[in-house]
Amino acid sequence: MDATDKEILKNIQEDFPLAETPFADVARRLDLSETELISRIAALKEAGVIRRVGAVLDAKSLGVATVLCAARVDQERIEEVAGIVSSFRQVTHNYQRDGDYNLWFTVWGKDEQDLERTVGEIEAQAAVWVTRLPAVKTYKIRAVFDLT
Amino acid sequence: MDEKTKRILKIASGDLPLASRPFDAWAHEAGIDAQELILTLRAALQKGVIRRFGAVLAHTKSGMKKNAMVAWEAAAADADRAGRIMARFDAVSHCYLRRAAPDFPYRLYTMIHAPNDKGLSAVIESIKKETGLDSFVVLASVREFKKTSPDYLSEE
Repeated sequence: MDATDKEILKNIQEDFPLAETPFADVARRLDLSETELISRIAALKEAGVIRRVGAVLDAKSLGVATVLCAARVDQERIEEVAGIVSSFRQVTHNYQRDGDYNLWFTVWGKDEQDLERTVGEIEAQAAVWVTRLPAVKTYKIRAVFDLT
Repeated sequence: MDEKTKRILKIASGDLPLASRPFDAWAHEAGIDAQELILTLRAALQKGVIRRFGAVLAHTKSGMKKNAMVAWEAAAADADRAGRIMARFDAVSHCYLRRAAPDFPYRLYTMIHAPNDKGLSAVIESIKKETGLDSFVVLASVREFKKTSPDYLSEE
């Protein structure tokens, strides 16, 4: 990743033009040709730096309920349990972490009831107790990275 | 939200084609023209239904090698003040106040991103200093089992 790539990433994480020719618009900002910009973005995707380009939706505005969950899983069961947890399409993040609570995952549901049903199903299928840590207040969600 | 807007948002939660007129393909899929699609996306962004439109990065591959969830203990009456301070840090990408569990007293959760261990410790030190909180736990990630974008609008 060179300086131009970093500059591109800075410009397309936020202020991505919602316009008919967005790449040409960004290219103009950065004094690149549209073709070069597109091929660099393609390379960054290929390298796994960019996961996708698109909309990040706000769960709350859509009425969607989400919860952070934590479980204490025996070391010898961690892969099995993690596999069951990940198999739910409502689970978006699932990490093994240091500590007594060693499996952390986030679950969403169409509403609170749907969410609780899913978490209950995870508990039953994985045979673990799941501690629910719902957010009371959100101070910041900003998955944008300053690379310079 | 009407069905057409839902359909558009569902399509826009995908990956924009790398083409000169990339919204044309999405518009075609939605059965509308590009202009209408773009206006709908702008309105949704304005309203906050779309939190952000742009590139979604895999942070582990973008130079921020050290990522940790750090949970902080705070008195119920003091947590809000501390949460606001934490959110001001550039290295903090996410900050939530959560319900404490009986066996896990931490209420404030921060996702911290740093280039290395030293950077992570420095951020934690600054947060301690600025908030006055000193009971916390670093929940460093050992293994990533899953990280995907949610498909909130799927019909299943």
